Amino acid sequence: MKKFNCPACGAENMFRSALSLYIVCPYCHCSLFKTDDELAVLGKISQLADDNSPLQMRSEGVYQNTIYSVVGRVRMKWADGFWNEWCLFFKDGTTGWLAEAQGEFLITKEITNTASVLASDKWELNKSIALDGFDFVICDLKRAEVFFSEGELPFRAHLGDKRYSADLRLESGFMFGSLEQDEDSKKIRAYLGRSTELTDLKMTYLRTFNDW
Amino acid sequence: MTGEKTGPTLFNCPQCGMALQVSALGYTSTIVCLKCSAVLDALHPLYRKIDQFNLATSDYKPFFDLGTFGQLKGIKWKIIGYMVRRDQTASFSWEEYLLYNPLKGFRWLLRIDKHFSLTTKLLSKPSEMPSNQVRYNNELYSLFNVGEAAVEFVAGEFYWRVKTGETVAMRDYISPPFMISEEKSTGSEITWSISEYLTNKEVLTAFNKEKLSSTSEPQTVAANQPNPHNLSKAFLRHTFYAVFGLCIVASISGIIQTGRVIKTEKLGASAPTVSNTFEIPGKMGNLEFLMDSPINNEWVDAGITLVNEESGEDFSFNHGLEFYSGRDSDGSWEEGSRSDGKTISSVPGGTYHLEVDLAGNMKSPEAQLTIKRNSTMTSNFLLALFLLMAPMIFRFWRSKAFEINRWSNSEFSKYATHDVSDGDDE
Repeated sequence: MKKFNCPACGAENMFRSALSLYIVCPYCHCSLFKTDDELAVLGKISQLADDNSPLQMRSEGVYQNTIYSVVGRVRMKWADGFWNEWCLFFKDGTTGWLAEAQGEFLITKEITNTASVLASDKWELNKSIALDGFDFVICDLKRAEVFFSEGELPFRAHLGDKRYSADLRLESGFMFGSLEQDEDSKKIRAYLGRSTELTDLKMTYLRTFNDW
Repeated sequence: MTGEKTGPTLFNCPQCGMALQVSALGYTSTIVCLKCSAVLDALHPLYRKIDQFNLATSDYKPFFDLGTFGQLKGIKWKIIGYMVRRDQTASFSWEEYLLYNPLKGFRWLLRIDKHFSLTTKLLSKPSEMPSNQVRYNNELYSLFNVGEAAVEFVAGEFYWRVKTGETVAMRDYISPPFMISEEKSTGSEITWSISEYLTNKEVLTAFNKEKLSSTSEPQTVAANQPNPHNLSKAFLRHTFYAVFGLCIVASISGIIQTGRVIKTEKLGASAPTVSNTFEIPGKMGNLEFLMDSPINNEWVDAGITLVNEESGEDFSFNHGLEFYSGRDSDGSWEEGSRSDGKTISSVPGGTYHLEVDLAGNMKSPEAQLTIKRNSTMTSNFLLALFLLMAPMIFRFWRSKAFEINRWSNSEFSKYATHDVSDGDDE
């Protein structure tokens, strides 16, 4: 954990993960990006009005026998809707992601072996693509932009930051992969994990819903 | 902080002013006005109108009101969307209700011909198997229906962009109470879902519609309706034990083996013997003719005719014995028998006499004939056997009739496709 004072409002803050490069100050809602050991203020993040995600900051769970807690979130907007990507900080110091869309939960971890990954201009629906030794098929392609972010994240996620993403699945089974290209830096990140249900994630500190 | 607000967002239709709500906050992408069928963009802050359905809402009154809560299988759901779809190839329509629970996501409640099913999107694609089957979780599902579903009516909120005239290619595979459906949209997106059959009572109770149960009972057999006459493993096991037990009792007590002696007749001389008349009891049954003869390196052969005195019907057959013995370098040996039985079946009861022509190489051929009637005891045994098996046979027959009825709605029936007569429906 590394303490710092928000360069915008001066409030004391901290990064829980050494891998985090971006944080939204919980007091003044300014987004801050780490560059050369300095924190640059990118701007304000306006608050979300309507969102019924069952997850929230500090929700906890277990994946691959390691406890994690939710330390950040980026909410992406595309032409026909939104989805949430929750950043997970694992007890062993690693980072993971829990993406959530239409009640399906995709838990993944970033993989560094991206040698086999095709350039994004070759991404096509139903095209086979190898990732970490698995023969995936591209089942969804979306251009999206950051609509909202909170907490700390291992990359920049300021409002309007654009991303191109591909969802990968096997011919059959629960395995899931995804590729994401930052449209500014053109850097491609690859993730590997599985499709699951909230009950399988054994999560605690979820939100409660009065009507249900 | 986010997420303090969990109640629905209320707003008015920008076209007609109808009070509308959004419950699946953050997921809903399209709202269709319940009154004027304007298609509204839920992502737009002012719910801008993006399309218009031109259909009379009154023709498609939902069975369940939108906004209703109900508890199914221990989980509380809110009905937030309503859709009527029509299979354009077979021309039948059904209702689909979108259910929402923030912790469980979305489900569909289907109502087809008054039958209900609860549908969940599959996270893993089933494997396609030969002969029109798919496999999911080690269960095989058989192709039941291939069609093209078009959206006919829609109201409420949805997590995708609802489009007018939207059609998908559908394939339904069944393994009751489950059905697996594949939907292929024009945009080549393929989704798989699994539907579990729910009883009317279960669903109507869940959504406080018990009062309607008498008028809304289904009259047909649904594709994934469980067969109520199915032979359970326990039922088959009990029948097996009962039949097995009966056979053991029957063989110990000799019911199967020996019948009742109804006639003994001494045979001899060279002239044909005509016996006294005698009664064969029972309606129909077996007769066992047991012949003994003190032969030694000899043979006898009897030409036997059993004559029914009332009808004149006769049963003729030959029954012979031979017996040889001796001694050689290996010791003594025997071949043949001095006693042997022969059974003729299907002899009706009545008054009979015997005509026997005994021949042989004895000096004076002689033999004794004993006639046993198995019928009375055997028929008791068969009756008991039948009584034990009858429920199974009856259920098997009902079960099969149910399946034939189910598959009569499918063009992929494994039962006779061209000859499903009315007589099979029971």
